[in-house]
Amino acid sequence: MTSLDALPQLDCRRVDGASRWKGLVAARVPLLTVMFAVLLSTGLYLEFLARRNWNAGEVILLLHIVFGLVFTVVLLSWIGPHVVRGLSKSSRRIFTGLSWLLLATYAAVVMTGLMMILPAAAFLVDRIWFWRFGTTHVLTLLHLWGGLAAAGGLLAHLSMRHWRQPVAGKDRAAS
Amino acid sequence: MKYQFKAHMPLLALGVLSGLLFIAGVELLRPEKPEPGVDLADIPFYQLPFGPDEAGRARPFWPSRLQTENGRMVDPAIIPSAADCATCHQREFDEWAPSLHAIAGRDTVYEKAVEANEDLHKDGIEKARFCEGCHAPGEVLAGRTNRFRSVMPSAAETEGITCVMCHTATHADPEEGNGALTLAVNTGVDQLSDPMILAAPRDHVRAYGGAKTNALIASGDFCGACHTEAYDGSMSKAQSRQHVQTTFSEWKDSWYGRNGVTCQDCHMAPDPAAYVRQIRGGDLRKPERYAHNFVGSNYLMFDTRLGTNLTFLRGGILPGLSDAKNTQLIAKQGEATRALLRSAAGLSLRESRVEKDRLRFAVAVQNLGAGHNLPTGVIDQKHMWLEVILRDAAGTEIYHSGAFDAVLGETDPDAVIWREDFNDAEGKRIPDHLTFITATISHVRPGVPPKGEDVVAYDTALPPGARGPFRLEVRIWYRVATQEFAYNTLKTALVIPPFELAAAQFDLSGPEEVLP
Repeated sequence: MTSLDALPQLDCRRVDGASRWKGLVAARVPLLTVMFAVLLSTGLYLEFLARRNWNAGEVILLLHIVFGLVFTVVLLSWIGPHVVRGLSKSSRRIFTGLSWLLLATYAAVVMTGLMMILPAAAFLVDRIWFWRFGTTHVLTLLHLWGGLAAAGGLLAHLSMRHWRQPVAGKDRAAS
Repeated sequence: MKYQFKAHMPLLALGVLSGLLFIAGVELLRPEKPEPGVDLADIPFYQLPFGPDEAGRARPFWPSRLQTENGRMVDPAIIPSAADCATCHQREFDEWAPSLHAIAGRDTVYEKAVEANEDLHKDGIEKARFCEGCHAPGEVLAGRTNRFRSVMPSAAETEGITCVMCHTATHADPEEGNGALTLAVNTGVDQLSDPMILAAPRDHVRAYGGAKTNALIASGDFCGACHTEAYDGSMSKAQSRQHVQTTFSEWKDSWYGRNGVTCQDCHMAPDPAAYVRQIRGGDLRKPERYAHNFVGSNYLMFDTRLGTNLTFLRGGILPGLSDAKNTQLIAKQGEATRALLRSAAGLSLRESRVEKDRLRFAVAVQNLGAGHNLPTGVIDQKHMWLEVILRDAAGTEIYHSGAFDAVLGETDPDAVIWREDFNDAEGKRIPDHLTFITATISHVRPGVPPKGEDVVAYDTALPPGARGPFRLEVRIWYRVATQEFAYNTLKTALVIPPFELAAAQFDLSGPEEVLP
């Protein structure tokens, strides 16, 4: 009779929950970036070109809404830890300030987007309700300009240094 | 270059590229719809008895001056019904549903009048495009006003002046009238599904109420396109342009027109009578919102005491309404209509004197609240008359003019009456609105202009022994149709009840003024 202790180890790698989670976490960043770019391009199309052909515009609008919802969920799951990590690493006040501004812009875009689809969501559950047209106009305006500002802010956020370079004179004095 | 920037730039580029590829793909798979509307040639058996215009273009809607923006006929299937619009715009639907605009193309009074006219001419049905252009524009634009109705109907066409007939207007000619509207029914209607409209309402608004349309439909010019009506040789026996309805010009030349008080201000105010009182008080502020009731002067179509007769007169019940709700909405609008009518007119005693055995007095009939003549519109049917009863000190009636026989529905033939007459080629009065054989229009007495008055003088013999002080009872009556029309055209014994616009009593001792 063979002892259980003597059984050979299985010849495969264990995929535990933690590493899968880490993989997903790591995938969220590129996902957010790609989705942001898709949302920006489809959003600009909806704003400026869709009225020419709503036959296609309707499909693009649907995609924009679905992507927007997914983007919101992923962003919400990712942004908290990112801010905490980033704050501890950011040693430049201007970078920190601009990053908070970028976060506020993202929040505005997400909030206005969600507010704009509330009437459609209400319709799908048999409730008829919609914003006054003036409100819709303001929401659309904020969503559009917020989106453009977020795009510029994201590029700045990605390209700006957040660490402080050693000051040459001070280093020499210390040495 | 920062690591994050280098890492994310390809991803951003990938996202933009994916988005653009997706957009291009969808644009290819779902291209722009072909030019909306229907070619005239695609409507089988469509009759064009009036020939082309001076430039050689077909005139499919003639003698109505109605046009579509892209010049094509309308596919009835794409005209959204008011009941569809009510999905989101319930309040506006509930306001519009009892209105005369909603039943303009179906009410029995109108239908019977059109049928009577159609029978007068071999091209009578096509001539009726003149009437239908304003009363049932959807029917005309779809090509259903034709002796062979090859185009299938749709709900929107039964709704007379339905939502899209105003909310797609891009041009109006109020001087030309006769339905001189251009409607973008083909091009100005979005085809998004309801949830998508709610998600992207700006394009819905662009489609239905572009800045151009919104400005136009808020103007008196827009109303004037149909509320100016003139007969010419294309739909009548008139040798020259005969002015039948001049409501727009009456308004435009009035104090109201000069002061920017529009048709919509009064007739679309949430409480029109209250708004008229506000204007009479000198407060020219606009109403807080525009309701879609279009409250007017036709009290008969809102007289719920008529019971099933009313349903008959209104041509049934509109799609989207229950019997109970229909009655409730009609009753509410009836109150507003009666209140508006009572805010329009006033009476004033201008003079009275006894000379030997005769009493002479003059009564001024005043237009205090209407921004157009009183009465206005096509007033061969709608008319107004003055009833005066003179009593002596003992209360004995010594003179009576303008009595109404409620059994026969007849008015004293000697009454002072404000009405226009349709006359045939021999100059004989046509009492039952037969447009197609009308040659001239004359006025028994033209309507009282806005903020104006018409002084009516009476001179009556006093019977021997009659003693003063004399008392004068005066009433202005309004009636929406003549009894001849009810008998001859409606084929009904219904006595059309008159409505008392204003009443006053005067002691003939001196000038006195009574305002409602």
